[in-house]
Amino acid sequence: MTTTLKYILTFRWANLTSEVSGYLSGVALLGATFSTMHGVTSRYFLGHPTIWQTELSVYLLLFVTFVGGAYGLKQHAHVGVDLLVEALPARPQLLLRLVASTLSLGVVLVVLWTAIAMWWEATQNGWTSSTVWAAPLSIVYAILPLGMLLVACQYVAFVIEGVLGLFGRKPQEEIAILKQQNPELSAAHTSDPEPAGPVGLGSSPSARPAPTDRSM
Amino acid sequence: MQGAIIAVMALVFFLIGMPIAFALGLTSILSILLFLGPSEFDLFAKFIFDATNDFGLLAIPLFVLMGNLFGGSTVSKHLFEAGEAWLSKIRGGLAMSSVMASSIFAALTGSSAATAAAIGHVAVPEMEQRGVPVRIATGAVAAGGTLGILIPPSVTLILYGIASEESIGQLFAAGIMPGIVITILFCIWIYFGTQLEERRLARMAENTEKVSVGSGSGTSATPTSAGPDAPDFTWSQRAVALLKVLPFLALIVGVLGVLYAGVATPSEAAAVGVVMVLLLIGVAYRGLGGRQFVKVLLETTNQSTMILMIVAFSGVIATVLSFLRVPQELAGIVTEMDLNKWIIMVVINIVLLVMGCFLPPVSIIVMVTPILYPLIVGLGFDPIWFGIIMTINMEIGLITPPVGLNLYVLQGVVPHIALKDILMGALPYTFVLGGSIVLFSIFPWIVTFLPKLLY
Repeated sequence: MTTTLKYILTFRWANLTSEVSGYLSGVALLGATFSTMHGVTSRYFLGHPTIWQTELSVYLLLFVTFVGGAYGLKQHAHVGVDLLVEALPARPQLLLRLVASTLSLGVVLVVLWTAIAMWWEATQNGWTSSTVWAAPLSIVYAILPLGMLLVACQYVAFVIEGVLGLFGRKPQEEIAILKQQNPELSAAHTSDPEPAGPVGLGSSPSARPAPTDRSM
Repeated sequence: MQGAIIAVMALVFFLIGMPIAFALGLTSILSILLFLGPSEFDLFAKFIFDATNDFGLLAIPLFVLMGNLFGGSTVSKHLFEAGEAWLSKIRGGLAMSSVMASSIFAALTGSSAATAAAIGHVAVPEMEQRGVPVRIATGAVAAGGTLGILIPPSVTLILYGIASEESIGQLFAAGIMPGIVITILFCIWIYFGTQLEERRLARMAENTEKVSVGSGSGTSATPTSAGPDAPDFTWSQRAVALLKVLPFLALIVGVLGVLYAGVATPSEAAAVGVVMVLLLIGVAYRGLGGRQFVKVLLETTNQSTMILMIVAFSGVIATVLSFLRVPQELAGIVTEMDLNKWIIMVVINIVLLVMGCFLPPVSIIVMVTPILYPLIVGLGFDPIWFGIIMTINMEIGLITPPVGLNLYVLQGVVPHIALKDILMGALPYTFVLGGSIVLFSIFPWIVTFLPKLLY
């Protein structure tokens, strides 16, 4: 099997799409900030009513949630209860991680399926949001299925990697689902004295997951 | 009954290590199939979409972004130094400074771990170097950090507000006084705790001296730089230290000001805050590098998607539960038992405390609020007051094992200190926090008078 074919079949490219989704979500965050800010200032100082700003900000928020979800998954940001799993020896732990990931993949696929149906209905009927701005719902409703698709791809990559590990085709320490949840859950930049991090598109899939703050 | 089956399902999916968001998703899929029938399935995506399609939720990523921007700046250092200049003459003054710095930092961010990390990496090494007992130092920072979710802005209060449809502005106002009271209680504990700890260490040192003869080179007592023999700060030094933190205090006043003057909603105030922080960091302090800025954005994406995915899926399960009338039934059953309402409150707090030992605050708040809200209101408790009690309860969970996040955060910041010392240092504060819950139950006006004054 050629390397390219292997790359495609094992869904390793999903690491790249997840990475890109993170950067896009970062931009969406800034967009939501300035759009909201624009709404406040134009309403307060110029007396203009807020028309599109609030709505656009919410859609960008949805983008961060669902499309950013793929990046979050790659970075192990989605918090879970690891107490029991981590007490297990390596092989049963991998097995349980695989079960959990497959179940999660199932959930994501169900959401993806129903979200596509919702989007298709809105697109067929040319629906718009019921506000003055009348945003086309074909675009708005595309955010959820797009995000779920990206999350699903990342999960498929995780599961394939896990199965390869189960059959000894991949060393344990390279398997992403076993690296779940770094205990150093601090805000990354305060505990990390080095400015260089996993920055740059398509950083290696085995990169150490950035710790994520889950205290809220 | 149906409620119990759903709870057991969720518990199983949590325990096998599924991410909480997807565990809730799977629970709701199965609940719909079991109890409502597959015809309701078409609405699944709509439920998720609607749960997240809320302008109020935007406050969460924006306040998180604001906190993360601060985390990388020198603000925590300035705050600690200002506290030190004013408190160094008091016994345990350095540890008190870190609690004070934490409570002000908490007003700049909505997260506890961010507070503990930011203050910890400045304050703990400084305190160690100056001879503050290690447990006093780490305990003050771990516990002080928990104020992040109580003092506004607070991510947990935003979520409670959205889940219970109470005013986030009122909840924020309600968090201020308890935040100040708990800060003072923490400082009082530090005053006594430092003396106890110094005596304990002196005893230990004496014992080791008796054992190892010859090594006694006069290190029987740990030198303390805080206390009566601390270095003097002149009044002008104190003024300068205070001046350095003035821009941040102005920022806090600015963000809360636009909120309470009725100019902006919490989400809008958060956006104003982010823009102000960007200006402050860009103009007044050394700017944030491009790379660092990208990192802050990515980290904010991670935290936001984690919280909001849980919100999205818990929205579905809340809808399913209310279809099945589970919260109303629970409220009915409990009311029929005809117990004293304070006994029920104690039971609720114990349940929350146990959950808090295993789950992060966000997931507890979004899961529990829709179920408990009818009960709380039915029993005649003030829902704003309960939001604060619940948040203090979550604070305890952040410093108790096995999943006390602040303990691990702090260990990540100061890896050379044993987790046991951090844990033991933080332990007394769980009692202080528990005591404050009792205090606010006896004197609920400490919580409620400020929101009543402002609204």
